[in-house]
Amino acid sequence: MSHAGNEAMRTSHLRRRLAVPAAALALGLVAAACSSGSSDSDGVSGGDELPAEGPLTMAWYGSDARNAAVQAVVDVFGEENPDLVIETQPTTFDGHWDRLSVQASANNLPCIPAMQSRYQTRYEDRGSLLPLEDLIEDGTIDVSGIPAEVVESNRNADGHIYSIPYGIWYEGAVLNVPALEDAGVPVPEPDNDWAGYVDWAAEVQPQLGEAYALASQGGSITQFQMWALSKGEDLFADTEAGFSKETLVEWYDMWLGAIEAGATPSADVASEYAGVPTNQGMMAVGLTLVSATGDNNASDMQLTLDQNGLGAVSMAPAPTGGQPQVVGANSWAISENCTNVAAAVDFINYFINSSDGAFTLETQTGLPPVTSIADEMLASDEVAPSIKERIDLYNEILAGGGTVDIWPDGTQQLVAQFTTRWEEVAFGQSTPDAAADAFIAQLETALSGF
Amino acid sequence: MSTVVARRRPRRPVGHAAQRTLIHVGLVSAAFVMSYPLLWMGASAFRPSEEVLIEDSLWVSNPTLENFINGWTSVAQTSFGTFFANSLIISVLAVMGNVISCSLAAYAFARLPFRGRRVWFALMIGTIMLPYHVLLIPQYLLFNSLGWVDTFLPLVVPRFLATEAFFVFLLVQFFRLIPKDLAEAARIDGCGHARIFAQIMVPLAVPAMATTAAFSFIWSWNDFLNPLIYLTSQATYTVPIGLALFVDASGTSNYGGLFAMSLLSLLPVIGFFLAFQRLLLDGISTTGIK
Repeated sequence: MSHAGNEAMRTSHLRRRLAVPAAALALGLVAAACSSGSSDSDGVSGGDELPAEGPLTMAWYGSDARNAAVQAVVDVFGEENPDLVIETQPTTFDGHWDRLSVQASANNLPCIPAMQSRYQTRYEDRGSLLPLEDLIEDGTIDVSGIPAEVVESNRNADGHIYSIPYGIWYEGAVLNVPALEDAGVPVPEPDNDWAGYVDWAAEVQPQLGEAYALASQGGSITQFQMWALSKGEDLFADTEAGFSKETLVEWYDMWLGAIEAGATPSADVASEYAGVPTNQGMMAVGLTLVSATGDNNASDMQLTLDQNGLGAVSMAPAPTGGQPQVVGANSWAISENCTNVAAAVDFINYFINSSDGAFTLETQTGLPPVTSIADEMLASDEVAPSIKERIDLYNEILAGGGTVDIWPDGTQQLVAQFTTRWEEVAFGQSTPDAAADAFIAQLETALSGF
Repeated sequence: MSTVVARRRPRRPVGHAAQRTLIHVGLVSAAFVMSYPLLWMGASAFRPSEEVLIEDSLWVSNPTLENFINGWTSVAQTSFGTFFANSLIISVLAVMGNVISCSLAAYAFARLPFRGRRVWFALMIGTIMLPYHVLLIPQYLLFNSLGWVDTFLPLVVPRFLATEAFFVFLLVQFFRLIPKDLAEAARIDGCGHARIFAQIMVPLAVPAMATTAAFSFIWSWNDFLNPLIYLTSQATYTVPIGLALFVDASGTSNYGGLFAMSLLSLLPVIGFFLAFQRLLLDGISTTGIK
């Protein structure tokens, strides 16, 4: 599962007791009403004219380990700029967006708020962020090391670029090749689409004993997007679904067929493992031999497999049948209310272009978007082979035409809704046809802004 | 001569003891089921982190204190002790604020005749029905304009302004139960409202005030959203925010640390309950709180 998909999935299981998900929607709606600024802003240009007053405030998200790594890079930047007061606001992924919604409503965003490709549109469309394209064009913000298509895919429909990627993540297929070879079954072809993987799984399942050939992806919106891409469609098309109902019904039928063939775990078995950490999931404990996950999760799986001598994971491109796949990005933006844009620009330049910083982060915030730094990591003996494999595959995805996928505002809740619709189908509470209708209705509601 | 007749205790039917035993077995079983999650959390706090989510029994085969050590220090640059201290400061001030301000407001509603008293009381009760999220943005705008963001003030000052309508209501109900004759007698003796409140009402209302204090403490200690919104720098975070940092989808989660610190975070609440248990029960029984 992808980084973002994982985030939302775990949200539904762990985040619970606090009623924060409901709050997030309410906060977002109120933020919309209260948000100040204008999305028609022309932005700023020229390094000498940039406002440079007050402290540099910045906010980002992550677990404690990831927050510590980002803080370490911030500390080095602080040492190099001893006169600058830096105030940091690290918190969890969900907490970050809840807090940002409220701050945006009061025009009190931190100078540098971390953005993410599935969340940033809300803040861009509501004028909370500073357009950066002029600063990029005149070289004040140095993105020369980032492939142009990655920078460009962050461009909003209004023509402005509001965020600069600092970490790339993507979701691919993961294969336990040694275990497959031990079982004497052929390894699936990497250019398959999901139908190819399911056919392969049904064929080899009788030879796998208690293990399952394939982990069900029926509830993963990210993998459904790959399925849609393989059919020349996508998740979103302006204000409506970018895929046909038939594509979604076919998706449900395909995974129901895989369960029936015994090639993927049944709904009740899968639900037992839903929400457990990647390093304790079915793939990590050797119960499934092929799955899909975010590139950053592969190392966690490998740790558990190593502990139990159960094989090794290899990442393959997402099953798009050879079509370009999409990736996600964590980015830095500058808020419209920032009073120290000069320092914010300096920090972004430092963070994305610092090789030392990238080695400190150890890809915890995603793969470095600057090609020369990624190459440096590939050449370094200090970097783990699993990280190098992820960088190689990212380069392959980029070469194949991959772009950063920016989701429209209000669509984040679709991740959990897609899982729920699939669970209804898998447990026999809904037909594929009805579930497809229900999900498309939810998607169109989300796109309509309600 | 009187005849002493030995009175025999009526014999209980044989089935009675069995019935009582069955009831107790049922109650103990239900109590076990209810407390299982808590016991599991306690057991998990002493398990190696990698065993936490795959072990559902209460038996800890490899007990370790590693989670406590690791959890206490694992959040970057800030020890968990800082989060405990912050939570304690906020919760204690919230208790003081609520007890003082809500009892004063309740006394006014219960005993002071003033124009529109019923309307004001109804309005105050009506605020309980306002969803919190409706108030969040206006409150944030206000506190931001006062420069209070990233301080404890937004979490503490409102407590001194009787903004918790539930506690005002609770104390009003209690004050209304106290016979008016007491206050009238004091009045004849020359007491003003301040003295009647301080020397007559407050001593009699101790159980209700203890209930207010206990709920204030628990709500404030467990509050997540307000500290998340108002406390932005890590050094000001409270325990619930600190606990949330252990588990995040964007990186490897530390479940062992989470459960160890969760266990510790329960101790002040349990301690508070034990210390005020008798008063709490009195307060609950006399104010009709369920």
